[in-house]
Amino acid sequence: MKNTLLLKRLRIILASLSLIITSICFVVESSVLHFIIFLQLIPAIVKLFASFSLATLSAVFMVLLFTFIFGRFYCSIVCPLGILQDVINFFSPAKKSLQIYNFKMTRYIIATISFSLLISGFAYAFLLIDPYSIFGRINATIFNHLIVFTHNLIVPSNYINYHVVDVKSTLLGTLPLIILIILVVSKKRLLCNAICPAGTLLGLCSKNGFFKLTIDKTTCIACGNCQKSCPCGAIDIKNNKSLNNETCIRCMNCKAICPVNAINYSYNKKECAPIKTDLSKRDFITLVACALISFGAGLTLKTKSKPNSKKQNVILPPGAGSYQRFESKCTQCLLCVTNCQGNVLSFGDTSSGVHLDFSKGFCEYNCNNCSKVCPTGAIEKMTLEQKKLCRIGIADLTISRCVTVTDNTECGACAEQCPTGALQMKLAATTGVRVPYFINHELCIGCGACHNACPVKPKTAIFVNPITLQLKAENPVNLDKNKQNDIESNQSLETSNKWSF
Amino acid sequence: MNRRNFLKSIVKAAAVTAIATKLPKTIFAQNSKSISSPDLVGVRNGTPVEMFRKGINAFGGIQTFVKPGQKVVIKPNISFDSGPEHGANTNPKLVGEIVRQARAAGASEVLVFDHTLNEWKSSYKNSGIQQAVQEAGGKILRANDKSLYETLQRPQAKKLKKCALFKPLLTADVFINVPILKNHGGAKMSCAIKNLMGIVWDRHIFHRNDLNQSIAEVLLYKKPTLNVIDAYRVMLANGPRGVSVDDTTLKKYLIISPDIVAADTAALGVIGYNLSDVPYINIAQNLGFGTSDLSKLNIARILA
Repeated sequence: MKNTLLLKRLRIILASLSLIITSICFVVESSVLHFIIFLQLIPAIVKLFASFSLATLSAVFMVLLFTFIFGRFYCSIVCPLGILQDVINFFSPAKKSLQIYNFKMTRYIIATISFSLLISGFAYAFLLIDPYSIFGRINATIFNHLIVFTHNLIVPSNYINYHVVDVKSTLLGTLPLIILIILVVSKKRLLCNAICPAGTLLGLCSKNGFFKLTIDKTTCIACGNCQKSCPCGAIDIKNNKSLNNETCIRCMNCKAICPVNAINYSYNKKECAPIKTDLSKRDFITLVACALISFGAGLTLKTKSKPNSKKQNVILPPGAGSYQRFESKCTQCLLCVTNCQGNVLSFGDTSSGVHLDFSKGFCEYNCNNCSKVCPTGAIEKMTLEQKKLCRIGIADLTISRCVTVTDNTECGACAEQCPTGALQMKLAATTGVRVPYFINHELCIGCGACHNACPVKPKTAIFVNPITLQLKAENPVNLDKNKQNDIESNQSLETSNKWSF
Repeated sequence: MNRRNFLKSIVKAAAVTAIATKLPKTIFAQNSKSISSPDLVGVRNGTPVEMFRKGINAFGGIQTFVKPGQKVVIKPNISFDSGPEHGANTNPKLVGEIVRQARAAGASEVLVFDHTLNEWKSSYKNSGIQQAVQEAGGKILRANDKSLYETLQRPQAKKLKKCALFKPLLTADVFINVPILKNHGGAKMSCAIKNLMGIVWDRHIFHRNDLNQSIAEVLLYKKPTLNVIDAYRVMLANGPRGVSVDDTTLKKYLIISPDIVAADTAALGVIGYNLSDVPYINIAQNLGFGTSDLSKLNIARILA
């Protein structure tokens, strides 16, 4: 009896742990915890096309190989949206048996279209249906606040910053959660076997894998408990007591509930009750046609995508490259938004995607969290030194709006914060007031510190404009040699032993 | 006299001299204090900690300012997310030493804070001040939220009629201002008076309403008990943030004074500016917060 419960209990413990760790990843940036994000299948596959690395390839390979050997454990212990569905299901009032469904063609078509689009260069489909990204949006806009609030209540000495989320972006997280709750209460894990492309891919691995769940037909008393407990509708007692290993997510509910211990999880090369899962010729042709059409659509989209000034009017995080690149790779999981130190990364207010809003904050010079955490490679990995030279926008000064000109008083709020020294103050001969000017525009990285600090409201006197392509800016240390000479001459003065006051 | 007695007497003599050289010093210090306590102390050529120890002793020790059971609030400059070598934030060891001495003098609690310009957590951490304060037995407070500030009014102010101040500071018995001396793009020099911009919530008002006047008028809201100016590593260019370590130079000065105007005036000499370059010093003087005429003051100059 103990043995039958063991696997289910283990699954629940691992799943809880993984859900907690994933949620914490949205609160704090820690390379140790973020390994779980690294394992997320769809973001990892997107990353193969966005910024390829052997580490990502091996992560994808590992997940697929594990699934091939042991089955779709990924869906029940790694996928945060899957675990969230199990949690909702646990609290769900309806515990009725599922109608047996098999949305085989639906999920094949969706997966074919998604992956073909990805290969042609667009991650658009995953933006809508990647389970991790959906979880990310729910977590970032709803749960994240609860976690931070509780944490700060319990440990006020180690205060964690809140991330400003407005009504509209909260709505963007609440909507999927409501849909998810309705789906789970009525159809349990329908999403995983009708839509989810990760589920489809893993199902195909699992279907012909080594370890399988089987029903021993001689011991089985056809009580139907297993069918009732299955969240995927993978068990059909009436139809020859079959268990579909393609849709089964290895939650082990059936094995735990079986009164006669008729369900076995063991090495088994041949299925006990082969369900006809092979595609008919017509289905196969449909899939090939879908693949070709979406691949072609992706290619034409690529050639047709021209700089759209209206849509491009946003500042993107350092490492995004260009608007076209970023838009086609980002699945909007919002991990970067919640890990942004400057609290400047925003989502869902003026523009649809992730972007920087300098009215909220500015891009901290000593921080490259967004590039560290991005699981899809939409924000390319950058060292802190590279990031400090990455220009994401360019500041533009309208001196006629500046308080040093309009009010004739000292200010310098902008130059005060400029980390690269691009913006300096000089004495205006006519008024005797120090006014801002660009000593070298090539130094500007568009971090928005000046824009954020400018006291002229609502339209600031210094404004960071978007650029079409992120570039490497001039290195401030190299350009500073002249000033260094000044300082040295000052230093020689200092060697005198006279008191300066 | 045999050898043993000779050695014994030498040891005794040495001990007496050692005590003798120690004793008069303390007696002398107390005497000089009772005669005339300095208005301003300048210390040179030591580490920040050494210089503070010598300088504060000239005032008769920190117990002159901190009485047992008092609540002490220290405001260093922790504006930026950078290390001590950049000279943008107050030297952490100096802050730690002040916390330690205030604790030793019997302060009930020693609180340290700054309203930072960069993200507060990384600024507290990377400046080294958080660790120094905690090791010295003080508490570092976050000041990143509007709810932590209380709005006060000063109708007599010309520009800064309303201002939100950090609440724990308002209930402090002793307020020690520990700025770092540096170049500043907007105000020319950032030092003791300018450091007080970190005790308020909305700095935009300052920049909108005559920066120099507003800077001086913060003193109407809260005046420091004591100012300790860290002029050990001084940023001469690209201030107040600085672009690289090359913007700084070692001056090895420390200035201590209860008179904030005099302290800033003395700092002018160290960084090499004129009084006319930094208008808020004169405005503060006219508001009655001290004197910029150093010749009228009793200044102690100490070589560490």
